[in-house]
Amino acid sequence: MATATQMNPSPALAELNWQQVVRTYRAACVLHRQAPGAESQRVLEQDLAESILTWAECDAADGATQTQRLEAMFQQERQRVEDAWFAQELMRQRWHSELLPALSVHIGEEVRKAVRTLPAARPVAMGTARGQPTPAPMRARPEARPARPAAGDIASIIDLLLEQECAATPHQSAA
Amino acid sequence: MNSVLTPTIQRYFKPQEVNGKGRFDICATNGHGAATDRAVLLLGFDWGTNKSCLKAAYGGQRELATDHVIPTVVGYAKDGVVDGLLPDNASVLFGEPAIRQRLHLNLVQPMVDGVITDAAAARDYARYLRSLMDTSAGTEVRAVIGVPANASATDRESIREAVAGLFDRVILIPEPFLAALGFRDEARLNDPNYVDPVRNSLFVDIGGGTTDFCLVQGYFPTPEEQVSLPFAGDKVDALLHAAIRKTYPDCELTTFKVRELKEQNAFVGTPAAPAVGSVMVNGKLRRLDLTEQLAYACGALLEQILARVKQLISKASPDSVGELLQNIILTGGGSRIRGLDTELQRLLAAEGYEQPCVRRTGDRYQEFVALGALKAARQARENQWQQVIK
Repeated sequence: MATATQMNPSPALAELNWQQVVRTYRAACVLHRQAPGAESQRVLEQDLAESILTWAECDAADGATQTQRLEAMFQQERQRVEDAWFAQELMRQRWHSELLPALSVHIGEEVRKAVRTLPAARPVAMGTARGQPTPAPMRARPEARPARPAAGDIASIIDLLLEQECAATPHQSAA
Repeated sequence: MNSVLTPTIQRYFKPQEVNGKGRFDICATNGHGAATDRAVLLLGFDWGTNKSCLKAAYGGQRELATDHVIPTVVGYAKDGVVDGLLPDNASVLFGEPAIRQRLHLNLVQPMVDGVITDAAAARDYARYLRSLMDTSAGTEVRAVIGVPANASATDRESIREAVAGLFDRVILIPEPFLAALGFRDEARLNDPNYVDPVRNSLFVDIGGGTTDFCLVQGYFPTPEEQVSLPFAGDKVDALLHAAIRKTYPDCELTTFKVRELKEQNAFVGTPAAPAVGSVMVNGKLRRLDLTEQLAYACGALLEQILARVKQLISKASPDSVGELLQNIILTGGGSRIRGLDTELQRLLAAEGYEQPCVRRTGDRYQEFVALGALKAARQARENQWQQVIK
């Protein structure tokens, strides 16, 4: 592969490739925040690696300057994602502590009003009173529950553990 | 080396190096198939509070390349130790040699109750374990490491920190389930007389720091079905130590001596003969009757186990309890306490449980978590491994 010097690269192309590096890294940070699992790692290891290589080859700067630029961008992007997550967390907390309770109260009042306008309930059927079997209440469909992997399905178990760890540590840093 | 990645990012991404020509050498992996042409050593690692078990095999091979059970202890040479006193004039020893030379060492246990409490010692210990793996240059080591079921995010992170740069990739899996998985004999699954332990059983893995319980009924247990109780061998030691000192205030006991007394004499229920141990009292070796003290300390453990077993049985589906009661399995070092199986069975029966059957896993009690971890390592998908780079 030709070196950056031999190619005499265009600054505009280098800048375009740089923007791709930034976007890819940002996507990796966001993905990792959402679920620090395979996809974020794949983006880090494949997409980001490729985009850095592409940019580095057409960028005229020396390796040390490129390194510094990357370092600064990594920090900046991580901070941006961190700030965005912080804002989202504040919103989430407010939603749970204030908006959701208020909404619940409102809906509860509306339901009570609606119930008061309904005719009285029908009397219990005599058959039930005589001890005839009562139909079993409808159970939730098994598909509605979160799936539990079989004890021998190790790959699915690891997926589940990674998801659980991610859910248990929502405030972890982007990495 | 100029790393272009922040330390946190490095943990998930191999550092890239600038070679001075504006080029980056990036070690990339892909999410499917082999990520590397390097040889891969798969490691099942039970990092126990008192003993650790390592079982490693190269990818695609059945035979083990590494198989060790090592006391989880690091001994740092005391200041002023005379040259040549320690083997190879070492400044730090690990495992059995450290225990043997404890007079001249400051012994440190990196873990308490199944979690790392001394990061530096844990790191040294992990480095020692890595040195035991006779790998060629460039071999990638991927470890499945058992963690207590209730390990916090910080506890897990401490483990990753300790092995970062020593093992290339890790997956952390709860120990109780690994014990059950390790005990499963896949070769006998078609044997009509074989009872698959992950079909419907209750595992009790009694270690040094934690006693792990796992209710496994064909599916991966929920967090409520696998419990790590911070009451195990070390707590028994502490109770025994206090009880002996109360009865025999002049006796000289170290942690290791108490553990030795327990390992030789521990029992629950009615002992066949008085439990007698040799203890130094005022510089003289005396044989002391420790029956009462051992009954008290081991009885406390049994009480805790009984309570948790009952709790887990109550979580099982009523349709499955009958079979479950037939498959209560004790493993780990604590399972060697004499009478623990029969006494637990007796107490369950006395409480009205129908024909319970409690059994022990036998002589390989120390290996099942690591065996389960190695099985998991063999079946993990490529993109499930988490890179850990210092």
